[in-house]
Amino acid sequence: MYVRRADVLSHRTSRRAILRTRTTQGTLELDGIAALVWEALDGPAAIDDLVNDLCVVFDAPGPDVRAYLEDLLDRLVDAGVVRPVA
Amino acid sequence: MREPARRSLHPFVAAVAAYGLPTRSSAIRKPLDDIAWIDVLRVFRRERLAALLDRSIAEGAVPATDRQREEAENEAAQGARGVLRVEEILLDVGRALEAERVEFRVLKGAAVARLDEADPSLRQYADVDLLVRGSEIGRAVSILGSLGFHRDLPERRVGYDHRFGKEVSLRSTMGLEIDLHRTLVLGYFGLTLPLVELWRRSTTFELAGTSLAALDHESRFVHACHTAMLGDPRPRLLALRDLAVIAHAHTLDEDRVRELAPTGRGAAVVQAAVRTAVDVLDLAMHDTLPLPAVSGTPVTERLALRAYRAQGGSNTLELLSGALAVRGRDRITYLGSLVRPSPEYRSARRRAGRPREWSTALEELAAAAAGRARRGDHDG
Repeated sequence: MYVRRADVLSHRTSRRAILRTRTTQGTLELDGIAALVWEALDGPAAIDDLVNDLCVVFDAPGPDVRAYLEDLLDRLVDAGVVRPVA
Repeated sequence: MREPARRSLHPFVAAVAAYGLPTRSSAIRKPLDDIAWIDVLRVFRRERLAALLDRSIAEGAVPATDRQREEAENEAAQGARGVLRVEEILLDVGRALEAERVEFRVLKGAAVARLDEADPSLRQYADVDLLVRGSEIGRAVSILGSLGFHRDLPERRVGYDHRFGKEVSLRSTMGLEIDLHRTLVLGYFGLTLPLVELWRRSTTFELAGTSLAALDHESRFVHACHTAMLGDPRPRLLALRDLAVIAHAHTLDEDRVRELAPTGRGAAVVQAAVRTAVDVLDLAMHDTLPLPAVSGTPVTERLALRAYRAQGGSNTLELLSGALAVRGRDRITYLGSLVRPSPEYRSARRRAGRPREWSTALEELAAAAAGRARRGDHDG
């Protein structure tokens, strides 16, 4: 399960999510599928559920979506905007 | 009281400014041509409505070409980056004031975004506005000094800020601005505002996991009305939207609105603001917007209203209108502060390239009188 870190400031436009972390004071911009995933992480979300949702929305093969999501979530965790939860 | 006519507002701008609110307007069918688009984009940038434009287009509330859609999104993103920087400052400032036990309320953009808009991203803003008690203004200024924020001008005269001032503006070297308000508007309406009532109730909102205090719904509504009708030469669309959004999001207690804007001390301002918002944004909200009954506005309030820029007055006249609100020796002290500010204040104004107050006021008055005479000719 993953969720947004509570101390991240964020705003969204029609195409992207723009984030600012209190720790790094850097701005991170997500667009496309990454922006959708960010929206979905406003509460704890399981990677399996995210994969299922994205497969339905984009009619894409599960393994590809899972690989993309795992990579994205790793990068969001490294950037300090998302954290894994038990 | 002079209110702007709706006919001057482009229907596309009105539709976007009223996005998400009940309106009487009919749908716009065709995208704007390139020339009209450039004009309205300038308006949205100036009025800080780019996020609403982007969302209105994305949700199909107004039509747009692919290029217009992209430009609107870019404008919204640029505004959002600015808001994030301001929010970061708000968190730092809130933490610093709280650590020193200075009570405050978050005003305007940040509060309306989190408490009243359906999505906080729709309300963009460029500075931090906080309400602080007059007795705490000095301490708050020195706390924010330690965060790199310094006054743009020194105090007009010793004691002015905590007794009569509207706000102290502070700026950082990065150009970010914090306005520490003692009251909500300049002059008569700021000085007669029932501050005890304003502080009596509050609410909170969450920002990045931090809880911040804001005014209660009715106080935010009255503040938006004052900002709309008294703040600028023409009511800003953002302020008109704010008051409508607040009334749309909550059931407002009309008795509480009357306590905050009683007859003679702001009821006429609220009434004019509500009517202007309904007219300019073409709202279908007669049942939800509190419209205080104003019968026989006292002479003092009518006189004071004329002093405000939205009514054809000037900044200096707004300040002078405050003399109608103070009595006895306070009035002498107040007028003394206006007419003979401290030498430090005057030289700081000169250094900052600010116009001379009284000669500018006379020019503004002459221009306003000429405008009034011209209008009289046309009306006649």
